[in-house]
Amino acid sequence: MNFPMDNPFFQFLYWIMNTPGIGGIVVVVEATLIVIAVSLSLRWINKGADAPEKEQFAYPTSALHHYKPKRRGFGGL
Amino acid sequence: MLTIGKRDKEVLLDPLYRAGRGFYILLGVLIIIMGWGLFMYIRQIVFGLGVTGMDRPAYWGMYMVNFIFFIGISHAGTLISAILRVTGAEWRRPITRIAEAITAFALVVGTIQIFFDLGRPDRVLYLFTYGRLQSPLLWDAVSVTAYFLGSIVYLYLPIMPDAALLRDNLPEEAPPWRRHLYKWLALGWRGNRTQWLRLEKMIAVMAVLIIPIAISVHTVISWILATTVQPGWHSTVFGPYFVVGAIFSGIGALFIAMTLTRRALHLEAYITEKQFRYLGYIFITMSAIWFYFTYAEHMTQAAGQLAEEFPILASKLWGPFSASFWVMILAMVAAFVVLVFPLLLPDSWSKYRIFNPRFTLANAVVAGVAIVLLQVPGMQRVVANLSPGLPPITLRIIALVAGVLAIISLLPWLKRHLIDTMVIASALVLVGMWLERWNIIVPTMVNPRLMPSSWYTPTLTEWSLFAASIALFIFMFVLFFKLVPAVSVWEVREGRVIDDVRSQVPMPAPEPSSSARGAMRRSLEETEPTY
Repeated sequence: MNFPMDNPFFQFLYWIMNTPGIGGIVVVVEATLIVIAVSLSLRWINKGADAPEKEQFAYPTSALHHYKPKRRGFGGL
Repeated sequence: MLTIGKRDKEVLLDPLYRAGRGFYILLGVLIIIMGWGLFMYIRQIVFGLGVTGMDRPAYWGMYMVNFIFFIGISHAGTLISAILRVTGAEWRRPITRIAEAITAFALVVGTIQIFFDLGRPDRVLYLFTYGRLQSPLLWDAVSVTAYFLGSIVYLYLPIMPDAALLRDNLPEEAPPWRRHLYKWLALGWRGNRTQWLRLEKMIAVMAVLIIPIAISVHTVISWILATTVQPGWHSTVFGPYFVVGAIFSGIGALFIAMTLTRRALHLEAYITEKQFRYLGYIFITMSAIWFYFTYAEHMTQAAGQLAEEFPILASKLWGPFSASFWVMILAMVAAFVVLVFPLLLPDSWSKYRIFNPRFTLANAVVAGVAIVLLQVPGMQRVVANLSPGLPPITLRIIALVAGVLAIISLLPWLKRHLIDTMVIASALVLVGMWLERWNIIVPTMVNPRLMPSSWYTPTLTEWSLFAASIALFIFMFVLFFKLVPAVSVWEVREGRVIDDVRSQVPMPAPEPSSSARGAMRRSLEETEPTY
């Protein structure tokens, strides 16, 4: 069975796979998207400092996660 | 202002502002090696790739071997940091930063090898201007770009709270550039609840994302070889084989980095034997998997007996590449023995006289002499003259028995010195893995498909750039840990909180089954004291 190269969809796939320069565009687009995503995420963390919270934690503690350890064991044993 | 305990400050932060003579001597030596490498690289640009040992058909040599080797080492960070973070392994905390730093710096050094290999560095632009999506080289650019950017972010995120800690606890005598650096790195970190929750969420997302990206990086590197029809490379097992080897060598590099950092910065209270033991178990597992894949890869070539492929296998087993192949196997077997056998040795056996360092030394000397007599040209004739009745097979048996006895008698020492054992095994694995990359690339290159075979020997240029690459890796590593704590301060302190909470929860004994309960009751009734 011959490969259906007369089908426009396969012609498009062939073009996208074999055209010089498309690969470079993919790498540049990928790097740009990652940098944008990371920048936005870092900005999101940075803006978290503006939240109206007085408490500061040098490291995550039980208080940070609103967790108070129970002195009793499982099922009251 | 964020605060830190006195002990943590003394051990983790204060050394950042101190540098002894040894530090500067090390930097000086590394700069000299890198300078020599730069000179040789400029010379290569001026005179062309003819100054290397590469020539058609062997147009990939040591640079490609180093590229795969360093990218493989970069898997340390992914495994230790991402996988262990995702699975909630608490013991990872003191070693995550070292692992993540190895990843970032090994990727830099690995990528540089491509520039060396291209000869003309400007040609790297061709990848973008003429790159087609059908090319595995382009897939490699895609995955390495994602991995590099992801690893940098993954390294940076846990640094933010520590940078804020450094910013808030900077000594008065510290230079102003440090204040600017930590302020910049902290990125406005205040440590309030919202910031912590966002940071932890971001780290969790990155940990999940980085694992498949890392797997893709090394499978794509294997596809650069496997998608060709070159004999020995056209293999479906190459993807997982490369990933396993990458993780294996990554752990080896991590062990050495952990040990050196621990000793240099006196981190014995943070990086304990626990980290070495648990990571050692993963190391043993990876070793076994590596042996399995190596066997699978060579067994299929041997069974296939293809006219183009079999000469390459033969060249490794008994031909011109047999030395590199068998040294690789020997190094890996020795690493496995060093890792596993001490665990199997009962403590009570230490009383036997065979387990004695002097006995080890004596056997090692005998084995060494026998190997020298066998291998050094001209020595066999001397042996034949001195002792006509001593055939080479007898010398081989003596070397083997003495070697095995030397290793066996060393086992109790290895068992007592866990960290040294891991360093020895890691050094063996790194040598073995570099040779494995060599054995994959070079034998196929010099025995290509449809072309006459040739030979490849690296020149001084290639060895110099290899040495400079290692020096660059160490340079970045040493300098980085003069700016940032080698142990993630906040993660270790969080680990203490978790340990503390766990210690407050009484763990009940396992509930006995009904039959066991009955037996226990009867036993108690029988032994009930009478007053």
